[in-house]
Amino acid sequence: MASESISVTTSDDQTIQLSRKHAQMSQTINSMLEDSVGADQEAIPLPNVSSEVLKKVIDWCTHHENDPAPVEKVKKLNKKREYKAKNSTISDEWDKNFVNAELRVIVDILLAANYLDVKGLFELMCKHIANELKGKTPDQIRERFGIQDDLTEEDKAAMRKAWGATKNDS
Amino acid sequence: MVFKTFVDASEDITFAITEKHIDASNEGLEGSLPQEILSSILSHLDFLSLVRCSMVCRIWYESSLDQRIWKRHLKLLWKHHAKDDGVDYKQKLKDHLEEMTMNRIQHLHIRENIMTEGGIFSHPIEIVDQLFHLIETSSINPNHNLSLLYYARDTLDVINRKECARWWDELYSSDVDGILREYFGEENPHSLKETALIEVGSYLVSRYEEPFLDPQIIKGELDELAERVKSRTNDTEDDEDKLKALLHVLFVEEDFDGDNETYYHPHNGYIHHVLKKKRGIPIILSIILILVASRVGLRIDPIGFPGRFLARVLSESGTLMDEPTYIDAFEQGQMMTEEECYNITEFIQPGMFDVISPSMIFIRMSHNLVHMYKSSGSYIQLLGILSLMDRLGDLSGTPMPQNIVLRYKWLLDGGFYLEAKAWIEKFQGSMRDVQMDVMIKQTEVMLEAEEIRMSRIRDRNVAPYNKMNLQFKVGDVIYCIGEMSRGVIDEDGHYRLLMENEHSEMTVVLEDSIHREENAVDHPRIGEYFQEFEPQSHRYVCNPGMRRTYPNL
Repeated sequence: MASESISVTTSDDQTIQLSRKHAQMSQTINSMLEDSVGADQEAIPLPNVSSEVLKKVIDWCTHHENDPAPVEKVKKLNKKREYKAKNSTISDEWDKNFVNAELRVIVDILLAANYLDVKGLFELMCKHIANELKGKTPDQIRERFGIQDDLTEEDKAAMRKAWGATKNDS
Repeated sequence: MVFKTFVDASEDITFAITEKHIDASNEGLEGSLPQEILSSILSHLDFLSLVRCSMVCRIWYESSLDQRIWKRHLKLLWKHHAKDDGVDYKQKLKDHLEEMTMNRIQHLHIRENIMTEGGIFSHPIEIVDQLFHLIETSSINPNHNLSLLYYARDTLDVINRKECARWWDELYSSDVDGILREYFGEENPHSLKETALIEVGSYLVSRYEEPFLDPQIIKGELDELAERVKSRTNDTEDDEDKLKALLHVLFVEEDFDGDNETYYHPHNGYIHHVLKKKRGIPIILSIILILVASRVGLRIDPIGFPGRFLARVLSESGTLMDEPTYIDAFEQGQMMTEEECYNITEFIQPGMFDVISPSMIFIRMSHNLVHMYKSSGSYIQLLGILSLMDRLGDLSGTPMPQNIVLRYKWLLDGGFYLEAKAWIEKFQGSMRDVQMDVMIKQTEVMLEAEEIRMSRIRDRNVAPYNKMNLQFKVGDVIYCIGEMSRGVIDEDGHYRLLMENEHSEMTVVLEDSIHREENAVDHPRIGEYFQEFEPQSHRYVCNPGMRRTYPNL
C-alpha cells in the first residue's frame, strides 16, 4: 500500500510533506493518488499553490481531519438548503480565528481550496467573504475590495429599473 | 505521467486565473476571482446584499445572474412559486416584483438609494413634495389606495430621517452657526448658544413624530408666548418682574401643567404637541419655560434633576433671588429651594443640581419617549426612537452597543421576526460576541415556530378556525399579516390587530379579508398588504402583491 506521507511541490518550488489523511481531504490530490496507485511516489506538482498558502490549507485540514466525510456532508447540506436559508454564520471558534486574516491571504486560500477541491474550506472562505459584503453599498464594496467600476450609467440605470421601478413609477 | 496530464488539462483555466491574480494582488479582488467562485460567494448573501453586489462591476453582475442563486431566493421568498423546474427564476422573481404596486423589497431598495447619495433621487426634496401631495390627495379620496399611502408615508419617513441626520451632525459639530441660521433665520432670539441648541434639538426630536414639521410651528408659539410676557412687563429690565410675568403667562393664563392622568401618552414627549395641548412631562414643560424666558432676556438653566426635570433661576446676577431657586414646571411653576427639592425625589446622586448639557437633554428626551412607546406597545415608533438614540449616542461619543440587543428584542416582541433576523445578521460581523450566536439561534427558533404555525393553518384539513365556516385558503393571509405586525387569532377565527397608541382593540377578520366593523381599521401597516377598503362589502382588497401570493383570496 502507499506510504503514509505524500510530498507535493508548490509553485515556489518547495517540497512539502503531508499526511495521506490530509492529502485526501483534497479531492484533486485524492484523484491523482487514485490514478497513480502502484506508480512510483514522486512529489505531486501543485503549480497554483504557494508553500505559504499550502501551509494554511494543511492547518485547516489538521483541525478538521475528524469531520464527517466531505462528500456526504455536502450532499446533505445541499438538500437541506432547498428548504432553509443558508446559515451564513461561522460557528466554529477555530474557523473564526482562521479567517481573521488579510484579504489577500483569504483570496489565496479560497483559490487554493477551489483548485485543490477542499469543500469545507472553500465554503468557509465563501461564507467569510459574503459576510464582508453584507450591508455594504456598491461603492463601499468597490473600495473595500479594490474593484474598478466598469459599469456605465446606462447599465446602472437599467439595473435600478429592473430592481427598483414599477410600471406606475415612471 | 499521470500527474502531468492532469496539470496540462487544467492549465488553460487555472493558469489564467493565477496570473491575473498576481497582477491584481496589490489592488485587491479585482479580476482575481473567476465567475464561478464569485457565484459561490454570492449565493451566501441575502436578497438586498445580492442586488447591491450585482451593481459593483460587470463580472460581479454576471456572476449574480447564476440561476442557482435565484432559484434559492425565489424558493425562500415565495416557496410555492418555485415548484416547477426549468424556468428562468430570476425572470420570475422580477415579474413578481414588477407586478406589485410597490413591493416591499423594491421599496427597501428605493430607501437604500435615498440613504446613499446619488441614488435614484438626487433631489429628495422634490420627492418629498410629491409624496406629500400623494398623501394629501389620498386622504381626501375615499377610494384611496392604502398600499400607495403606506409606502408613500414610509418613504417620506426615511427621507425625513436622513434630513434629520444631517441636522444632528451639524448640531454636534464645532460650527453650529450654519444650522442655527437655517432654523432661526437671521434673528436668533437666544443670547446663550446652549439654549438655541436646545430649541433646535427639541424641534428635531419632534420631526421623528411628524416628518418635515415646519419649525415655524414651534418658533411661532414660543414667540407669541414671549410677546405676551413682554407686554405684561412694559419692557422692564427688572428680572424679577420678568420672571413673575413669565410664570403668570405660562402657568396661569395659558395653564400649562403636568399631565398626571396620561403621563405616558407619547404626545407628552414632543414639544410641538405640548405647546398645543398645554400638558406634558417635566422635561418638555421645563424646556418651554426656558425657551420663552430666554426670548425675553431672562436666563433660566435646565437642571437634570433625577426623577423630575427642573429649571433653575440664576441668583448670581444679584437682581433676582437670594439663593438658587428651582422651578417645577410640572407643578405649574412651583418654586423651591434646593432643600425643598429633596422632597420630590427618592434618588440622591452627585451632580443632581448641575446644569444639564443640550446633548444630555436630547438623550433624556429620547429615553422618555422609549418609556412612552413601550407602555403603549408601539413597536414601530419604538424602533424609530431607538435609531434616534443610536445617532445621539454616536454623536456625543458614547455609542450604545446595547441598542443592538434592544432593537433585536423589540423586533421580536413586535413580531417582526424576519426583520429581527436580518438585523442581527447585519451586526454579527461587527460584534464578535458569543451572545450573537445565541440570538441568531433564538430568531431561527421563532421563525421556525411561526413557520409551523402557518403550515398548520395552510393545511386545509386541519383548518383550526372553521367555526364561522370561513374558507381556509385564507388562513394564508395571516401569514403575511402575522409575520409583520402584532396580532392574535382568536378562537372565533378573528384576527385581532392591536392598534397603535391605544390599548383598545378592533376586531377584524382578515382570513377572508372581510372586516366586520363599521369603519376601516387604522393599523399603520395595513397598507402593506391591502390597497383599499370597500365600505359596501366591508372588504379589504388585496394589493397586487398579495393577490399574486394568495390568488384565492
